[in-house]
Amino acid sequence: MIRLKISIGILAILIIFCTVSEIFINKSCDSMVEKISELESMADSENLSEELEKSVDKLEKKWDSFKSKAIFLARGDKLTDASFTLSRILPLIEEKSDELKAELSQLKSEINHIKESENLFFSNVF
Amino acid sequence: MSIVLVRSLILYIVVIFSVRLMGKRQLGELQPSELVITILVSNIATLPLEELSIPLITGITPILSLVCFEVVMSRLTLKFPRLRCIVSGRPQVVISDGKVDRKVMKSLRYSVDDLMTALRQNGVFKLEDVQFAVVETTGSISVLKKAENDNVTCNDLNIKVQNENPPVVVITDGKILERSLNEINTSLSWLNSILKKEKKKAADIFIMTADKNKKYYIIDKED
Repeated sequence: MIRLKISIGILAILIIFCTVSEIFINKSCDSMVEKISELESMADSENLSEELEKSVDKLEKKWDSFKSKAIFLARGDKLTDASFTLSRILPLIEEKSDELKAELSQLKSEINHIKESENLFFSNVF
Repeated sequence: MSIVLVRSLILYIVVIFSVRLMGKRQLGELQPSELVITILVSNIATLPLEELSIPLITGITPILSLVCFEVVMSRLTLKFPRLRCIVSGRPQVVISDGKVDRKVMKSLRYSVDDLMTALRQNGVFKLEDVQFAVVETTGSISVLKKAENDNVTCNDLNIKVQNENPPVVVITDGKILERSLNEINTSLSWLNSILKKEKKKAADIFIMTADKNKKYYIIDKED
């Protein structure tokens, strides 16, 4: 009977943990994707480079905070890829490069991929 | 490298905990579902060790969840015999009244060689000695020999013997096991009196066993 109770307890903890981690990843990724969309619209305007840099700075802090927790939940290589992409954004803003929008788009796609791969979708299960 | 070492230690603890949670069975007595879980757990445990980019929780979660599912399922099979039949199957009689049931052997995909091997492992070398043989759900065979070929017992010879409980180890490698003394309804003072009588110290004894009838056996460290 004790084994059964321990097993049910462990299963309950695992279900709660999985639910909480999924909610955390979803919320964090959604807010970062929203931030990136703002950056994309700001990138269209050439005169806002200082504001763009400040926003990217905020995004980097948000990403670092998310990554420090998500490293226990998601695959490390996906987080690393997004980190590398994010690190290229600031130099592209300083150089006023044409590739900025493409990099922002790639970053958005990588963060969405992290979120989608952790969600309980039919395609992920099978 | 140190990451692998720490992960190995953590996974070792998790696997030991999981195996203890599943309960005690020998490998040959595992039900099919238990055997599957055991093999799965051992394979899953290697994944976070081989692939360091996978979070450790990705290895621990399936191990714990599979073992917990197995414990819950085994409890349900205790309560619902039909479920037990679906999950574990039923024992099948392969020899009845000394006759081999070929239909059952065919359904089990049991060849003659398999049958003879299983009988020999039960200490039976002649097919004609077997009265009854059952293939259990674990895949092992249980054999009942014919009465005339079975071992003689004290009952057959009308010899009256006293039932004895098995002895327990009361001293191991110089250490006294007080729990064992309680099991055989004796006390430390009895043990000390025996040691005094034998002129020995507990520290000098490798193994000492004793039973409820106060019979004891000592192996010294020097032996």
